[in-house]
Amino acid sequence: MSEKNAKAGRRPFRAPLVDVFETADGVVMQVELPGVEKDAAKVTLEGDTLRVETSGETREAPAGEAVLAEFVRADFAREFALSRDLDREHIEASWSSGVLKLRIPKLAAAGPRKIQIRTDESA
Amino acid sequence: MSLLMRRYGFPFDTIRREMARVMGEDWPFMSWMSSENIYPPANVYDAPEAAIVEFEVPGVAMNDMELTVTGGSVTLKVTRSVEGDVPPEKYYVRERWRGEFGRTVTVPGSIDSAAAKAALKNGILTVTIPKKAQARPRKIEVKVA
Repeated sequence: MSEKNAKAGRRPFRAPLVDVFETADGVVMQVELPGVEKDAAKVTLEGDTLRVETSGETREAPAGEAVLAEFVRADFAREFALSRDLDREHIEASWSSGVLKLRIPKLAAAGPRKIQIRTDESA
Repeated sequence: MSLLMRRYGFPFDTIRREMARVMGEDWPFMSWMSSENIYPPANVYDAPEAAIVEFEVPGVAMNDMELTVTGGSVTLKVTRSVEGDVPPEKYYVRERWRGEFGRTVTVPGSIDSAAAKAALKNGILTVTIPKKAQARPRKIEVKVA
């Protein structure tokens, strides 16, 4: 971890593995958050950016000397840019055995609109 | 790239560490110890009373795993079927492991494989194997001759 981040008190993050795919009515995201309790996961939306993060990683490593350490106990964080044709008001999130699943429906198609021409009387 | 990492772990680790150090200046540090190359990622701890092995297996049911503990190692076989019926071209991002995997990790110490216990919680499988009684640290009483 860089000195600058350590001084700022930032702890290392892990980027979770994700699958993102398109379905008939929207987009589905599956974010792997192993070892995370459901309450510790947070999904926020700011503008076009969807952020998934976990906080309060307090799992203690088991006692003993680590002989092999391939995954770290750290919080997860990852951001995604949502496309404009997705409906941000109706994002659904569900959680199951360490995987967070997000369903983001597409906006109902606006379709071509007729624009009425009014006569401008003052001309 | 992943084969090279396994065989020549050292130089690539250094490069990734440097990259993380540089990237860490501006945004949250992305741990270079990611689980990209080996599945499932495992941690092994050697404690005086027991050896503990953890595997990261989010989204896997108990039925899809087969765990074997021998005198010196733990083997985990996993069948991962993530949500099916999605054609590959519909994916924007496709990072999760899918398929069948098997992995054996060596466990240190003199372990009592018959007494091994395993628990699955929040996508992490924890295997606790007590050490054989005579292998545990014992206090030896010093008697005055």
